[in-house]
Amino acid sequence: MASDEEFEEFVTASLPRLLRFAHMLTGNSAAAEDLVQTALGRSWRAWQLGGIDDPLAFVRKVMVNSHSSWYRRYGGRETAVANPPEKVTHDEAGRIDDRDAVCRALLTLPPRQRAVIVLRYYEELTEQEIAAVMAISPGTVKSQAARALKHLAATLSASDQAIHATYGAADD
Amino acid sequence: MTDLEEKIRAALHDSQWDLATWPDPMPRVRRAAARQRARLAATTLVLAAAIVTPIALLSSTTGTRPTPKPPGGNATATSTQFDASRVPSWASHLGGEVAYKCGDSVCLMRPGGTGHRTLGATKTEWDPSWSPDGRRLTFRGYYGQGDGQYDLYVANANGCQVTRLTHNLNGTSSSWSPNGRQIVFSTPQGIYVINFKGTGLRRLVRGEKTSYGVDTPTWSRSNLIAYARYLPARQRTEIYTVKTDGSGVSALTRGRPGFGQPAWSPDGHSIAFVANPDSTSSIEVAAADGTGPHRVSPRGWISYSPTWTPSGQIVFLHQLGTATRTSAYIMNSNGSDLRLLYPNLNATQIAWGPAHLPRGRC
Repeated sequence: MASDEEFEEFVTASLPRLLRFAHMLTGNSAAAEDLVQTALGRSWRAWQLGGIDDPLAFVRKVMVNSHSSWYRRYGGRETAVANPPEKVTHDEAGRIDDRDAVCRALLTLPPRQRAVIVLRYYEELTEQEIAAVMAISPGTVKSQAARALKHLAATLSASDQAIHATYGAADD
Repeated sequence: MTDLEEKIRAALHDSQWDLATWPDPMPRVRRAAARQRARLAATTLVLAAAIVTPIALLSSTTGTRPTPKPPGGNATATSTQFDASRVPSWASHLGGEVAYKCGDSVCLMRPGGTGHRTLGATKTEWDPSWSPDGRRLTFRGYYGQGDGQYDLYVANANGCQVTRLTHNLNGTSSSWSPNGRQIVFSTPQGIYVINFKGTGLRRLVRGEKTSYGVDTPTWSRSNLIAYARYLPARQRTEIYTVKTDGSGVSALTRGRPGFGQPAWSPDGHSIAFVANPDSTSSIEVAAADGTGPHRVSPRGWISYSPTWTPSGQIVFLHQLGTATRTSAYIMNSNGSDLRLLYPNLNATQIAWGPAHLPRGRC
């Protein structure tokens, strides 16, 4: 099918996007690099066998499934919030930035639900496309997304209340 | 889009997720591939030794032949961790056959766990659905490895005589008519009906604005088709029914938060479906007209993929942790006599066929 040079071109062009995607899945930069390296290794083997038509979709699928597999194998020991993204601070008025709160809440989701959210709101995939990536049915995508949104809403609401309790009281 | 969704999208596009790229990525990729090849080779050797050694020992000590592979076309051993020896003995009396999603394939077995094999008709297989006589299966099969490269296929239950029923329709979630001559299925554009030979395609229900807004149709013995319909305004899915000529569309769950995966009972008098009244998902059963819906799976469980045995019991999957860690349970249609049927089946879909599989080679 395609040459090694073409795969190298794909890797060079897609690496920033893949690292970013992995970072969102794992919440940890070291785990993200491991995940990308593993996925690209598998993809390169498949590429050499001529079994990939859409390398980005293939790598994405390997990453999602490898991450879930790692989570199953290592359970709660994954670095869900061990290395949260930077900038987790509140501004001068004492209010935490919405995006940081959402990022933190995102990292509390189980890996499959987190993957659904990232695929839906970052990769902008349809439910059907997400189902294909994650090897689940569209119905399960819907339910996972609904559960994830509910969890995020509850987590953010609790976070807001905690912020108000802490900084709101101080302001008073 | 809701405020929460906007916040999520903004957070995911924040630059804090960016990581420094690798100056020369290919050496890392090659090293990873080499490690994976080495690991695969080692695993293959260990597995081969684990299989061959006991067989050789058994042959040499007892003088008996190794157990032959079960007959049945291109049947192969599966890679799931399901252990058929842990299936309770009473399961063999349930009747029918079981199809379930195992890894990238559809796996088949008798209710007692024997005759376990992979359909293996296409590269990747989903959504198994039995014909009324139990001799054939429709399923979503992948003809390529890219996203969306799938269509609806039909095959004999031994994996032979594979026919692609649809072309470039992205057909999925099929269900057979009671006479076995027609098949209803969903696509991103709506719900369609097609003859089992691939002719007479017609749209039954037009799709919603969202892809697969109408999904998982199921054909009852009394020729009523139930399906899940996503309602964007309410952001939830409900069960609807339609007659086989496309008329008489009506809501079955009548505003209740029905979620999907409807499954008619063998007599057509009841319908099971998945509902999500809270953060979990549970199996509910209602009369065929939608009255009297009630939860039958245990509260707090994540239960889905209900299917009926020929004698009217409900089998469903219970998620143990992640989506692919599941066990199958069986219960009466009122939720009584709940029993563990297939521990660690690790399936994401299960479909109970009405008759024993025909054996034999292609």
